[in-house]
Amino acid sequence: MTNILKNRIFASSLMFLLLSLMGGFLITAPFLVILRNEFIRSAMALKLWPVVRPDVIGDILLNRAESLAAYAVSALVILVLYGFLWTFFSCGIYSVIINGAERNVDSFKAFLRRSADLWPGFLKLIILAFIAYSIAIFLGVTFGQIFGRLWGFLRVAFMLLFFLMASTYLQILKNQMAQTGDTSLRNSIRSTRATIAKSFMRLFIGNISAAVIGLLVFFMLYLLLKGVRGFEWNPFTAVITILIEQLMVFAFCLVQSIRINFNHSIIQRGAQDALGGTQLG
Amino acid sequence: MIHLAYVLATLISASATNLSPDLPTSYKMEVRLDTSSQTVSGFESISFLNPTSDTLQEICFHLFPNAFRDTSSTYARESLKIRREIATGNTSALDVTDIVIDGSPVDSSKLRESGTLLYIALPSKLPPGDSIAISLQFTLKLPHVNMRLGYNALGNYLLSHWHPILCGYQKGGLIDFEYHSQSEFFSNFSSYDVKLDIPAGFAIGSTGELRELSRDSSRAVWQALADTVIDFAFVCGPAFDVTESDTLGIKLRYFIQKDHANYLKQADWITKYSLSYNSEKFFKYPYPVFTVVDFDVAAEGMELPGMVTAVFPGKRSGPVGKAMLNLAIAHEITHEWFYGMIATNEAEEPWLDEGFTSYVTSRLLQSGDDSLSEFSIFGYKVSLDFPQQMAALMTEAEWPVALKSWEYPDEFNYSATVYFKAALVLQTLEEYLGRAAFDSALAQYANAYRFRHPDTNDFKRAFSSSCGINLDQYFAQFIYGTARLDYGIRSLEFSPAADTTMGGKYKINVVVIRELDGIMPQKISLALENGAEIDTIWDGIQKLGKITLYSDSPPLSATLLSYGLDENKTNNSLYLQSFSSRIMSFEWDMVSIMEFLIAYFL
Repeated sequence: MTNILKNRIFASSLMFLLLSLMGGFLITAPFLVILRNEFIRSAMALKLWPVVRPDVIGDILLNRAESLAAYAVSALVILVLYGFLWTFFSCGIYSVIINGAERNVDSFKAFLRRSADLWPGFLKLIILAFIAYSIAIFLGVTFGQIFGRLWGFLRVAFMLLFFLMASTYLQILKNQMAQTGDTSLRNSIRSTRATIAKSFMRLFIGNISAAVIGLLVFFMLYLLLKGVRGFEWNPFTAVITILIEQLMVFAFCLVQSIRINFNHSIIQRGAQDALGGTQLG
Repeated sequence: MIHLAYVLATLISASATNLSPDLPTSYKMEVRLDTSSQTVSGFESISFLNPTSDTLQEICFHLFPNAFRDTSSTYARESLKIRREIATGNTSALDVTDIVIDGSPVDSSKLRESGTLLYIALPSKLPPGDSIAISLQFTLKLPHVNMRLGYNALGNYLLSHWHPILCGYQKGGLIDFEYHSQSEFFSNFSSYDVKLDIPAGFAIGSTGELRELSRDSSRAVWQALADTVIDFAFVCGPAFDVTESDTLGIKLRYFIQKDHANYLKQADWITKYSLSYNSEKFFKYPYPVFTVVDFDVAAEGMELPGMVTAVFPGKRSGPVGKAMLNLAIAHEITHEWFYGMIATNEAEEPWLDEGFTSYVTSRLLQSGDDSLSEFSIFGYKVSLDFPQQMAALMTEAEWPVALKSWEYPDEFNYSATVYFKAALVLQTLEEYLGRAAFDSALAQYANAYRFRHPDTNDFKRAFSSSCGINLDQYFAQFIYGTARLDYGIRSLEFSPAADTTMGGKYKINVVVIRELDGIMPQKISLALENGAEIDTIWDGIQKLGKITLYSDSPPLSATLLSYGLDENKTNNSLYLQSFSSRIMSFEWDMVSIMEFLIAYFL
């Protein structure tokens, strides 16, 4: 058990899970409090299992529009504030994935120091993320419109594909910052440009593969979740479903860690090629 | 489930069904479809009997295709989409010439055109019960299909509301409305004898019965005969696969686009089911032929006399498409009763056809073992009724149900009120009266007014009389008015009864609150710990209702009967126990979804 915890991919996935869990609670908290007050003694609570029934959603949308609007504002504020925290800790987790074996980031102090070093760069990347995902949406919609006529599913597939590509590019830039310690966005873009071009197909196939495997695992866990939810609600099934859901999130975080590590290794290999070739080239 | 005995009974009674014996109007037409110029030209002769108790000095025709002649029409002014179509040159026009009444040509000074209406001053006054003969020539320029008229990219044609149609009379009054972007139609029952000259290679389907009169290498002439219908429509073209079937003694004809052939089985099934359901609930479908057409018009489906169109789910394959096709065909077939045979005024009282049809369709789709309007999202079922009910309640009853179609400010409010809120109004009435009483009253109304033109008052009278209940307040609030309904249980308390002779060991106090202005009697059900249930009725008039009951067991919960129109269902029940743990499951679901979103952006 301790061995697996020492595995940087596993450990970083757990840290990602904790980070996401914290964010999930913080951001949804106001909404959950509103609903709890409304449903705590209403028969509507019986319609939340196995999944929330459409008429419950309808009732919320129709009768609690003001509450929802207030919640949207509060969630946005929490998201922005939590965004700083989330970015800070994700810097450290990236360092664990990339440099864990090479540099001393084992101590919490070193973890925080690395996080503090990389934080400005990761914050700049948030702005770039808006641009990257906007482009991904544009391309996803455009290609989806063209090819979606052949097969409706392609609309969704293209959107997911371009989102994956945007996410991959942002991960590469974060990797670069974590690797070099240089938080300049311009330098990161410049220094990775050539290697991305050279290793595009490997990055593309590797990330797609990771995403597909992740989806398969996710789907299997989803089937398990659906199976458990086929039973009547009781505290035991409720706990089991919560655990499965967290396992699904963990699987998702694991795929993210694997992709971060994979992208790092591919870009590293390209850089070494550019320097004259190694056995990795 | 349609029982075999019923099917046999309706087959036996088919010959006994009478259509309306007295028709004030009969049409004879000879028309030719020219596919090179995209025009239909023809001759129309009409025998018209004054059905009113007044002497008529003029008659009026609807020229519906002229709504799309240019952007000055009422329709175009109300519809940006149509203005754009017209701007790109996609127009239609219906020109009438050579009008002759009782053998005398009518000069232009006797004509008065107003939008899509053409008034003709009669050469002599027409007393009640007297007849005249009108004949005219007309040319129709066809558009690329817009709302429900024209040709499509495959070369198929749909012609509905396409020829000069006499304005109908209701309760002695002329119904001469302009064609609006949200309005549909109204005309009196008539008989039709139509000769249709079309290209030889075209398949053809129409209102009524068809027979081929002649054919050469390039053209074919068909004759359509239709008795006691409110209009005549036809569809033709080279790109249909035509399949025939039958049910209840009715010949079914399916005009399906070739690439949608795999939906034929489903279309056939839901068509038969819908015809059977409505025949059983109201009265047997009386015409010998029924046609289903796969044609992409402005809506998911369109009702025509003896014929319906539906958008087959080529573009929306999958479970949603299948549910939509079920809904479209079932809805349009139900219109054959609530529009086609109980011919209410679609334009001025649209709720009487759309609301009734939506309500009955919802019942129809839920009448089998599985709901036919449901589709699956990740294995969990969602009903198409849900977005409709949402839309209805989202309007917050801003507009009354009983408005003329053009009095609604936009398409959303029109649809949400006339289709969906009206369906909820009927559902609420059903919940109030009880299903058996409601169904009986609806069947009586349908039978009393078949081949007639009832209005909202007729419906109210029919229901009040059938159920023995004064429905004035209900109609004033929810049909003519804009009352909104929301009742809730405010509190539920109990204590040991001081006096056990009152009926039990426990005194239970329930406080019910009326949150909005709508008033309906409320049925309150108390569930007790010993498994028993106590029901009581509160008239719901006061803002607050305090009800005291006695029982030998403490209560578990108090629940109100949830009416369809009740806007807030969450406050309709109050349990003494807390559902904290159950809610926690849901809370974790929400947190997990948010976790995925956060983890994605790592």
